[in-house]
Amino acid sequence: MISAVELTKRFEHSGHDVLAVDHVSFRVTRGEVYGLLGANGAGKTTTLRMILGLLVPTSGHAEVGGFRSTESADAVKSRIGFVSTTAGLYQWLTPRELLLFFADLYNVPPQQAEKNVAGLADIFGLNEFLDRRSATLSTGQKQRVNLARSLIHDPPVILLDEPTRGLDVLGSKVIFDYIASARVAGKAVIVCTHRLDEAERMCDRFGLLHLGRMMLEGTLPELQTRTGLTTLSEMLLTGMAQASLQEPVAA
Amino acid sequence: MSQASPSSLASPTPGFRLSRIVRLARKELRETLRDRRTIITLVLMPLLVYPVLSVALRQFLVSSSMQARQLPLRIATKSQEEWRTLMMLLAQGEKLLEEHESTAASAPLAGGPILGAGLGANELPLSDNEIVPLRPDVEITLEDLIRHNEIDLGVRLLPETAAKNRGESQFQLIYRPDMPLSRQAVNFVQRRLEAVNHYDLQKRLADAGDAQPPKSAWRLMPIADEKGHSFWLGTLVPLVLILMTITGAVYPAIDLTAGERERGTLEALMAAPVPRLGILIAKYVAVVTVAMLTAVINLTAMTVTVASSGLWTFFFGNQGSPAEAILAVLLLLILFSMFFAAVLLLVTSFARSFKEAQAYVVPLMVVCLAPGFMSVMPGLQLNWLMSVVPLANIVLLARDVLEGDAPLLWGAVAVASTILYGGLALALAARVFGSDAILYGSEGSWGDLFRRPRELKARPTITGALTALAIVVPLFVMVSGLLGVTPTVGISAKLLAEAGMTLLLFVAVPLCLARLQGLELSGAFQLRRPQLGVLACAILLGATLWPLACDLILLCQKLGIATVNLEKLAERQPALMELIKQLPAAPPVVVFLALALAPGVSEELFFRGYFLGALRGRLPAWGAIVLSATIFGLFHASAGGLVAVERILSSTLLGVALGALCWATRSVFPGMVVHVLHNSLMLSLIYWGSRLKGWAIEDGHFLPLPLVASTSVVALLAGLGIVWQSRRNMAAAEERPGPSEMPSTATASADASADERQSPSPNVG
Repeated sequence: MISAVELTKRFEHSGHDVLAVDHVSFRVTRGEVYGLLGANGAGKTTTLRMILGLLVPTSGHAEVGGFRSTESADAVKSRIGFVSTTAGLYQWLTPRELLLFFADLYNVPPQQAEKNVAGLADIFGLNEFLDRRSATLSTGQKQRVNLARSLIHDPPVILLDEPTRGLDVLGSKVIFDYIASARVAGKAVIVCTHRLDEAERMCDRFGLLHLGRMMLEGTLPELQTRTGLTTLSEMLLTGMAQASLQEPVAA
Repeated sequence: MSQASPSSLASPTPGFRLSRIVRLARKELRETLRDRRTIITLVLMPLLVYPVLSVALRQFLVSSSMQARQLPLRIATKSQEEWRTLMMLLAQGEKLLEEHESTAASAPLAGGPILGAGLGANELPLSDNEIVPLRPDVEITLEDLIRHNEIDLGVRLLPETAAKNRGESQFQLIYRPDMPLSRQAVNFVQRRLEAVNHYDLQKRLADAGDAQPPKSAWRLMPIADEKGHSFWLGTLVPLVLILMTITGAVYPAIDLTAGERERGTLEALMAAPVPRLGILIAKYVAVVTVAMLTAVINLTAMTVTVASSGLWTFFFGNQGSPAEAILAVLLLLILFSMFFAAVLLLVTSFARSFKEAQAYVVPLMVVCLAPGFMSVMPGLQLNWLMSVVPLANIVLLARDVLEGDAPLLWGAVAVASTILYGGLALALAARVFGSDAILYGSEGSWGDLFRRPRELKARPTITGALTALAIVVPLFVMVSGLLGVTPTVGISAKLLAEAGMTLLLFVAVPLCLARLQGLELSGAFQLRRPQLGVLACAILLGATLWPLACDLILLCQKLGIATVNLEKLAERQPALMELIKQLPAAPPVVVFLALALAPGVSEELFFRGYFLGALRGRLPAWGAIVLSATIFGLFHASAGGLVAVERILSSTLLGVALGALCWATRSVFPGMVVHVLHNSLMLSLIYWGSRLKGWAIEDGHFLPLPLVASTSVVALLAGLGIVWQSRRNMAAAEERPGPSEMPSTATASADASADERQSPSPNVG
């Protein structure tokens, strides 16, 4: 359903090249939850944005449902639900108005949109503030509205960038439950997070990124066999330490 | 919640439907209008600003009246007899006022407390004012003297005999309500005449039963200035309204672009399958709507304030209904809103935060103030230069419309250039808005607008075409005007300069833009080599179009559609007429180079090669050809500073023919041949037409019908021949082997056939 092939992104900052993503490749199939993990600045969000077509890769390509994100951007976007860490809400609209507006953007017929709003409100517990102005919502409530916004068109592919950020235990549980149900519904899900304990519980396969490079990829048992380590945290820390040792040698 | 059906996902979303844009715009408007900061600038500002401004203005007028009171008043009568009657009454009144100072007070005139009675206490005595009769040999009327501000007040003794028989002198006081000294002069005369009447009445009341009329009576006759309107209406009103409209548009423009990015909603919007341009247009509609609402509310608030504060005559003079003037200003404000909203969106689209956007907008507003204030300078006219200066052209046009003497050509140029600038700004904004540079602050800068893409492209974009048009047309108007006012130089030098300018503007500008856009030159200007058969037909077409064109111009003149003739030109543009007279004296080679070859080559490269090329595949064939031909026709509208309707018509028709030719052949060369030949033959008529009896256009006779009919048939056949050969070539190109064997032309052919399928040639069917 999703494939990233040698994805590379180079940014230019003040005349200097910064390699944010370096030849990253992976695949995610239907009904699979893929954890794209790494420390801050590892290149997780940039990878998601390239898959979505918001950023043009310097080289390599990404495909969603057989459509390349650089060539058929609209076809790709219509298949993806995207939750970003930095996403905000329209302060002067109510969650209901916002959800219906995005349903319209994704070409969902009005009646179906109403049904989807009702369904998502039940799943994420939005009913009590569905008609309140968004500016008055708490951080957790806003995050839940954002999740609902990204799923309003019932996409087959979901990209979640730090989905539990700002949520309490109960709020996080709602997200975990939804991801589990998405897996059952046959959706392809990528979750970016640096909360590795959460990832271990949520995801089927993992890609560990460090400084834009894919250090390790596979299921948890595969990674444990390959590294001889038990947890994702240990694997990531060890990998980062090895990478920092190799840097001077490479230089 | 149900799973989205595969079919609905398989096809990309429709994106650019009008209904979609309307819904998007409605959401933007809903959000903007709910924001109380919008309400403050939209409603509260006008409600507060205009009353405050009116108080300030009244204060200013009072102080100007106070300063004016020390000046001697200039009062005139038409005849010696009238002067004597007036002086007698004024002297009597002054004496009475001196005796009964405290009792003499007059009611204020329309205009409120500015003309208050208190002013009378500090008037100069009668003898210090200039009260004179006009010399008998002076033919000018009192009204004209008032209009031209030669005198402050004209006094006319009305010839009503019945009143005179009763011993009453009836005066007409002719004055300018918008001039402080004029109003003071009325007050001066009125106070004295009232004093005489008052004394007379008291005296007669003492003699009971006396029913004689008062000693004198007077009627006020307010006079507007030379143009029939108040000076203030034309200058102050448009400027204030434009500034207020700017204020109204600024906040939503920032909020809907930079604000959206700052709040983190822009990324979600960009992640939706809607074209960036569609989202931007929706935002543009919202900003224009708010700006127009601001304009309407400001205009209403201003009108109500003026009416309720006694400043009506000050602004509107003595004209009856100002409804037309208000409507004209409103229409210009709408045009201005459309232009300024696009400029604001362009500027704010660069910003990544509200603060950054404000930093960009403040200098922009300061920049706007300069031409705005410059335009209220007296003596500044809407001409070839000012009509293409953004903002100043609208303020000047608003002033001229209010004063009732807007020049048609320069007004049209001002409107067209404003629309062009607005379109250009919007097209540029579409390049910047929501780009990854702005969204994520990666490589974004103003330099992105001018950065060459890495890969060469075959055709110019609509943005590129609009940019070229927005640069070339105003520059052409300016440079042509400059050449027109250049001190006398030889006719050959002028013609060569004109040819150089034409080539420079129409070729160099699109060439630079093509380079900036990374365009392949042969594709950008449609430089495909034509077949010999096509060229032969083009020569035939170019050689046979002129009789039809001649008769078309003549037909326009006979039907009264023509707006320019040699007499009119001689009257309005003597310098140009002189140039036309000198034309036969110039060497024919220079004339043909300047008026046939240079425009034929450069206009084809620009209008057909570059502009029409940009529309190919984006508009249906007929739409693209008609649009480019209309712009080509309008471009030829000016004839020595006058609008020549007949030129628009004939040039547009020629543009359609040349456009169709270029569309069918995908090459500018056949059009160049036709254009150069056509211009050359039309010029030949000026040179040698007089030798061919009855063939010259100036003779006012239609050309012989057999000649017109036969050449038209040949032209039609030549045109059809070109289309037939082009289609045959196209079909042959499609049948040829694939790209591996034809690396350079295969893409173009495939591209061509795709375009053909999308938009069939207008000559077919």
